[in-house]
Amino acid sequence: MTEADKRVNLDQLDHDSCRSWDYSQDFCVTCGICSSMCPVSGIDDFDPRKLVRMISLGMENEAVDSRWPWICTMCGKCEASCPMEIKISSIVRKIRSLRERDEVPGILHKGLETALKTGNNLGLPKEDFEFILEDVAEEIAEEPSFENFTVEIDKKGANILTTIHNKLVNTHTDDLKHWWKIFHAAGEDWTVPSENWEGTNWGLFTGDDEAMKKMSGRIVDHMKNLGAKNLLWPE
Amino acid sequence: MALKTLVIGNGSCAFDIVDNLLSKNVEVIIATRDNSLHQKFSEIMGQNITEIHTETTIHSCTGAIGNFTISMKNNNKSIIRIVDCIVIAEDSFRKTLFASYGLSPSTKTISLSDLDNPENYKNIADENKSFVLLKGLKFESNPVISKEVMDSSIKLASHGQSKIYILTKNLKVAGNRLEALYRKAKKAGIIFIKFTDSEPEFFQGEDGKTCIEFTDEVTKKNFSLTPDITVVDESIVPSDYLETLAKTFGLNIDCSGFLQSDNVHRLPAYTNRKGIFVAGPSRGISSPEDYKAEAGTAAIAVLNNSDKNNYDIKDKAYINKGGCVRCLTCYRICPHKTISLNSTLSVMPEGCEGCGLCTAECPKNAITIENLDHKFLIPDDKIQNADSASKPRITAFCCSRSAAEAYKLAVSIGLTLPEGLKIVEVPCAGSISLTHILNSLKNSTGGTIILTCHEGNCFSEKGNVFAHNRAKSVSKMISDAGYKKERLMTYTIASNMGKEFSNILNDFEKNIIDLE
Ligand code: SF4
Ligand code: SF4
Ligand code: SF4
Ligand code: SF4
Repeated sequence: MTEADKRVNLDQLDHDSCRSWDYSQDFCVTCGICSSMCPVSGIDDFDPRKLVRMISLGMENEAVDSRWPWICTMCGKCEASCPMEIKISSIVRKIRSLRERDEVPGILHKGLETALKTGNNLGLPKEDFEFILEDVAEEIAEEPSFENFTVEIDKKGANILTTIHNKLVNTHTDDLKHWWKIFHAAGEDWTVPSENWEGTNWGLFTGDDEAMKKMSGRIVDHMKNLGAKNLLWPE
Repeated sequence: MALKTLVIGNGSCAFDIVDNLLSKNVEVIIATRDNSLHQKFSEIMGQNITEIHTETTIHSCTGAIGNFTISMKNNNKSIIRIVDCIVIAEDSFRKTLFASYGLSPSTKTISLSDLDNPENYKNIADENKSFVLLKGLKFESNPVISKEVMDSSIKLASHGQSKIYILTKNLKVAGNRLEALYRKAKKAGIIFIKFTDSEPEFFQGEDGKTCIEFTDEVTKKNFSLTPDITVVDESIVPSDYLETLAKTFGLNIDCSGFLQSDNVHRLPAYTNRKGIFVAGPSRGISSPEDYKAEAGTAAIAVLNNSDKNNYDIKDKAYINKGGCVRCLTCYRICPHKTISLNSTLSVMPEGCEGCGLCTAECPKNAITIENLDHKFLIPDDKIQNADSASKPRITAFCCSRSAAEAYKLAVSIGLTLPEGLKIVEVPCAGSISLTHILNSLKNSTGGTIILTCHEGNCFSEKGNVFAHNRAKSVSKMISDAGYKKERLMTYTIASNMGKEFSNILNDFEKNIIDLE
């Protein structure tokens, strides 16, 4: 295929296809400030200005099929610096949401699917989860002045209910200890749910609003069922 | 007696000027090259427009403000009128830029004026779906054109058209309301394609349609556009008549041919000749609103001359008939065109700015300006006194419009200046003659320095250039004679450069001391 064959006939594109998107993309002045702020600009030729431009020209399909939206880290630096106040990360998320779900990049797709099915991104069974928590609690109790430390799972009426990021029960169990020790020292009344404890919500990154709603709903249910007073959602 | 004014022009701006003047009871004569008067004038016909001359050109103009004699030609018929003031407000022209894009006009490839033409507009907008408007891709376009391009696009969009593209190089939006217009265009869904490092390619088919190919500089993707209509931008050029008028009236033009030189001292409406004013599309490119404002300014400038008793005729040049040998030097160089040539030469004081260019250049010293010459005659005894100072005596010739102001600024902010400094303020550096420079060198113990306006900024257009040329020739003369040429220096300066004034003078003093 020659260069000329690849030429897109601009006036055959439907420029209105993305006009209903309420992210001010049409006001882009192509200044490029966003691209100079973006930490991943240049990777695979990606930069946020290109995506904004594609959307304002109505190149929706091409943007959805492209790898670019998935390179973005959703950090939001572009958006914070855009003089025209264009909601760039919302644009990225919107494009991601338009992909067929089974074409969402592997790790995100698998993690989210697993979380929806099992309650956490790792697919960690309830028994294993409880075993890990108790194991960590025992380790803490071996330390001086934490002799009587315990973790109370699914405690009703606690002051704080906390969610867990999956890496804290996987590779980073030491990080779990730090704030549990603080709870203990502060005499806090706290608990962790035994199921659906996952704090991360990858629906955010895949643009899947339904999944986001479901994951958040589970935490709301915990609060109701366990009668916890405050939620700690360290994400 | 009512003020009588000749207005040359036949467009909206000329109309506004006439309308303004009539409302102040000025007698107006209109002269236009065209064969009929612009329809706008019909509104005020029958009022007291004294005379209207169509198909009439200006043949000659003699005299000065308050008494210009104009000779006009109307089909070989000659018309002579005497007026107090003259205002020139000829319309500018639109130049289509098809050729610069390699395109030819057709029903599918049209100019900006074609699109805006109310007679065709509806058909064009109804019958076509996609539009490309080209703007400033070959020549940087004026903001007036940018505004028209955006206005036309928005109009098309509001007509229901959804495929409108503006292909542009720089899109400068600093002008009045342009940024808001740009946003409005964006909101209307108009797609801007900017070219910074590349240019689109144009191909025109048999049917006159234009196809455009380019690489979008943002996405780096290759696109083509085959719009139903391609609208080519235009540039605005001064009327071809202005060149003739400039010659006839002795007026200076700017680098694009408009009738007011690029000179900081030229206020709106004023030319180098007293009593002759220029406005709107004869003065430069601006928006219609600005032209309207300029029409008002020109009318006020005319009205300022209502009272002839107030004409400034003091300290003007005077030609001593006995001394004059009719070499015509003064007649040729007078930048304000106020020397009349009859059986003898004489200065018309009403038009004289007292710049002194003529006095300095007359080979017979036949021209004097009261209160000017004796300023230069530095009495010897004063210089003797100054000699008792330990520092060298420095004479600084300062143009009143720049260096003299810079000097006052330096003094007022307390900057140091040489002890032996003597300031000689001159109306224009062009009045500093060879004799003045030589006398000053003879009488000063230290040196002579000439400070003029920057090049292009002389109120009398070339006075500074004259001064620098004279200094150059004296410099050669004295160094040939074995005298240190560093004792004579020239600089250009602006009125707000007090610090620089002090630096130049102190450095000059230091160099003089080093010579000794
Ligand atoms: S949100 Fe995405 S596009 Fe914007 S700066 Fe961060 S990584 Fe770049
Ligand atoms: S910073 Fe905003 S206006 Fe500038 S290129 Fe990026 S999206 Fe467009
Ligand atoms: S320059 Fe002097 S001599 Fe020559 S015409 Fe003028 S006044 Fe006469
Ligand atoms: S002083 Fe200047 S304006 Fe007056 S006649 Fe001489 S050259 Fe012309």
